[in-house]
Amino acid sequence: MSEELLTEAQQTAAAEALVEVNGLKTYYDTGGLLGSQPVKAVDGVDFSIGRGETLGLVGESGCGKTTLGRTLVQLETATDGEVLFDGRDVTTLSGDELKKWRRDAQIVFQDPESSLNSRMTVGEIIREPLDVHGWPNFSVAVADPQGRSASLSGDGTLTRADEQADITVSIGGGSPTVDVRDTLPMDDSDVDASITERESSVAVSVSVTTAKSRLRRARVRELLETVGLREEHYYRYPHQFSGGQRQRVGIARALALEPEFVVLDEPVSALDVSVQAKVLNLLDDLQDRFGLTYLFIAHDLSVVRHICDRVAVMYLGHIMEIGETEELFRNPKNPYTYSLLSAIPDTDPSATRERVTLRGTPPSPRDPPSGCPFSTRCPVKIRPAEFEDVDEDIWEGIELLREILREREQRDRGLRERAKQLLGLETGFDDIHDVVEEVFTSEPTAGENQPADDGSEEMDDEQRLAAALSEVPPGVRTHVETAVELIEEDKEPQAHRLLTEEFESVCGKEPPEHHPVSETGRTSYCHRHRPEYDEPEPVFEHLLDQD
Amino acid sequence: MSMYSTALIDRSEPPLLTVENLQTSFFTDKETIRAVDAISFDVHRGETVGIVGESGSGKSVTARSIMGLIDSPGRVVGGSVRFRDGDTVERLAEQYPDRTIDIEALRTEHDVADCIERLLDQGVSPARLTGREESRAGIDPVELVREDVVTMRSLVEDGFTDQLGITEEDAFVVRDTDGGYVDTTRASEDAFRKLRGQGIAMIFQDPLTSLNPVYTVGNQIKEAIRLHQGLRGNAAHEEAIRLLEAVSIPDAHRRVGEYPHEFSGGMRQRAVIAMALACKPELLICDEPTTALDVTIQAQILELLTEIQAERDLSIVFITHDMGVIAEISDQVNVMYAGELVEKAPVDELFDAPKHPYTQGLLESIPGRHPEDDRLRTIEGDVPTPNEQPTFCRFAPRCPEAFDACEAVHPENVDVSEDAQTHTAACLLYPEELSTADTVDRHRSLGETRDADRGDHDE
Ligand code: SF4
Ligand code: SF4
Repeated sequence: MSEELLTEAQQTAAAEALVEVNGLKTYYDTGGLLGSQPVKAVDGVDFSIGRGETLGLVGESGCGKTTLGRTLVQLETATDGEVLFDGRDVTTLSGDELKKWRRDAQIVFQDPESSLNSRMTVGEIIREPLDVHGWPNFSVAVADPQGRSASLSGDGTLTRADEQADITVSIGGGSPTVDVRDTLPMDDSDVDASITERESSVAVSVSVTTAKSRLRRARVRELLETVGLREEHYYRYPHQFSGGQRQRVGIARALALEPEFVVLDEPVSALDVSVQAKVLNLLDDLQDRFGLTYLFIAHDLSVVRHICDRVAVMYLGHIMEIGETEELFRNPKNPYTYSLLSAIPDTDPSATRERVTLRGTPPSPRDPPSGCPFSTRCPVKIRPAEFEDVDEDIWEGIELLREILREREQRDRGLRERAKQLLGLETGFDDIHDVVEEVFTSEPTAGENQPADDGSEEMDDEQRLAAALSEVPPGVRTHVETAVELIEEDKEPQAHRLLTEEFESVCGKEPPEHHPVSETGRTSYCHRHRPEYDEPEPVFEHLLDQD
Repeated sequence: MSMYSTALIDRSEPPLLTVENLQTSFFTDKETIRAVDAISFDVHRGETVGIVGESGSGKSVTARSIMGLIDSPGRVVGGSVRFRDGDTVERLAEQYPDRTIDIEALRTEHDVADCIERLLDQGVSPARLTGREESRAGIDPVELVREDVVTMRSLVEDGFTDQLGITEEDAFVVRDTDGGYVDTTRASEDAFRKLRGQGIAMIFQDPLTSLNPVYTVGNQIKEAIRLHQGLRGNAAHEEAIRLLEAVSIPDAHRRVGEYPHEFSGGMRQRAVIAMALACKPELLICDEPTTALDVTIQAQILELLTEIQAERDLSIVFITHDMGVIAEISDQVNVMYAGELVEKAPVDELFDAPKHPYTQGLLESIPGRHPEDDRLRTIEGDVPTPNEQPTFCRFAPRCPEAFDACEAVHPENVDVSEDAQTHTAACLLYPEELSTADTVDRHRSLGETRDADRGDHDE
């Protein structure tokens, strides 16, 4: 595709965005401890979803993907930023406006078991949103060849500009003709319309002869069929259903009000693979049939690859990479995406793929690292120039030591620890020599018992420290030794700060930017795309070659 | 070979664990659910055997049956689980002399040919005795003994010595010159507790089921160390730290004093593995241990298990619904469907050339197997509840290959082809060289032999 065509395509895509998210943040104030930080579940994300598109949202637990999905449908309140739906910011809606908008944006939850009220029949469950919203509200359009202004009485309200008409009353000599939208479970003859014409206006009176409750029941039966269930399931209870059937009920309920946009929050994660396949096929069909736009949240990457047009990869409240699905899976650019994809077990047992195993767990979203969110675990994190040649194991040791200090510092703010401190109980770092020994000597094996006493007891602390650091180059060692001294003087925060100042690189200091990384507009949030650094991929390859 | 397995497994040695015709049922007012319905498989030393299946397939009940963890209204109603670990046998034989069978002693006291005579007189069919098709007329007890077709050991293992009244029915420890075995399906509750600590350990999906919230992780590991290694005080403390380090828990010195709720999900699972290792098991049974974890953490745990296995020559039974995990961790795979084992093969073969129509369908429905297809392939219908004795193929209503006989003949596990040594499937289409009429005949007669064999469990 030529450059021009591409930009044109991108422009149309942007123009047809149904959902546009700008600088969105969702923080939770969990109360609790005085001065505790809010949980930064979503920490500034931008993206858009085109009409009729499926955007996948992947990431591990706690990355903020579910909160993001819930914020988009206004089940959570955004802390900052905007969510534009058809160009209108829905984060500022309230009252009736919000209620009206909710019909357009629905959510399907992961666990069909707990999201369905077990005391209601399946029919009642699907019908509930219809009752809540007084469905059908009969939006009435008046088609008058003379273009006079119309007023309405009886059932229904006049159609707004952005609304689709349920009933169209056409005026043209004699009695008006009535046309009911195909997807409503009633006939044209169920509506009586009469008109009073004046010079410059026309008064229309509409009455629907079928009771709303009958229409709703008919609608529910229709929905049951749409999602592959049977009419007689109306009077069953959720517990009489299998997991796959229950998820179909959840989907029918979400579709009841004919939304444009559906957030699917792990809709197949609780299902067996053979059942999962059927539900995925159903979602695909429904999208085609009703022109739905999906946000598909999942941790199963093979499912996402199958069903999504584009994917956003989240980590600790940020979007690390976003772009077209196939391209992103084939050739991930961001170090986190790369690591995540490499961790998926492959159903081809003969695959000889190399694996990057990440160390540790994601940091708390209450206290995310400054700089890049992935910087505490990134296998290809940029090193400060002066340490580029330090041996891999030793560098790993430094990162580990810093991680331990960081974790302990966080913990020491905990209630239990503070209580201990107040009571004068030891909490701290009397074992710093053990820690240094642990991180700088080769890993202990899980082998048979070594004698507990391997001579280390006889060395004093000084000697042990010297032994542990014997391989460490002087430029690094001085800083570690200073840090140990500070800790011995109970100055842990200073020790932590010292190590950060000396060993931290741009990754832990500055947040990266979203760099464009492909011609289709994919972006990646990583410093390594800056011209002065090596791209992540060759660094990964180098890393895997060493193993 | 799978990505992680490096160890060489010696299959000429008797397996560490033999599961034979294991049957576990749940009894409710309405029906009897045959959750595990006569399944058999082996686990060798250093080997990882995967059991894969969807919910309701019976895979977890299998694990719990091996471990003696079936609670009412469930019960192991038939079959045996033999655990051949010399140390465990010796230890339990010492503790339960009354419930130990000494085969050497039996050999000196009783003549095997004699026993065969008596059994035949009692109406035991020759086919049951020998496990092959046999007619009453031609059978010669002395010959059978000379050819080692029937031995004292086989009489004990098949329960015939109980029938003859020369052994006790509640005996579960069997000593023999090769070390013998423990039959876990017969062990008493307190014997099980001893067995579970040592010898066999189990890891569950939710690590909190194995951790007590009111004690520190360190104290729980130290308790296991005290029980199983006899270490106390500082020595136990040091060993606990060492185990935490062995399962790659960073900052073990600090972590040892923390409570389970202070650990993340992945760390808790590591702690449980450390606790299991404190018992120095020979066999580790893992029931969906990574299902609740994120993929990057799952990758860490799988890597850890593989390392530990290589270092300790540990045998692992790994239960999961995740085909990807099975492909990575297993040497040998068993596929379960509605309580039965329907296919068994080395991992590469199972994924390259699955034979049972259910396995084929299961693999096909995984997204990504056919990226060119817009729609996922699916298996029609739902998994049935196994609530009656199978006189037919339980997969028949959903099977695209089903034919008339599938409703009338129960498929037995047979080699998928005449020269396949290690790949079996319970499907009337196999062995693939034979005509359908012949395969159906073979399955029918195998079924008859087996029914005779387990006649006593089925009423
Ligand atoms: S910015 Fe640094 S730490 Fe973050 S992903 Fe890129 S290389 Fe890794
Ligand atoms: S026995 Fe028949 S129904 Fe069963 S799996 Fe084989 S072909 Fe299908």
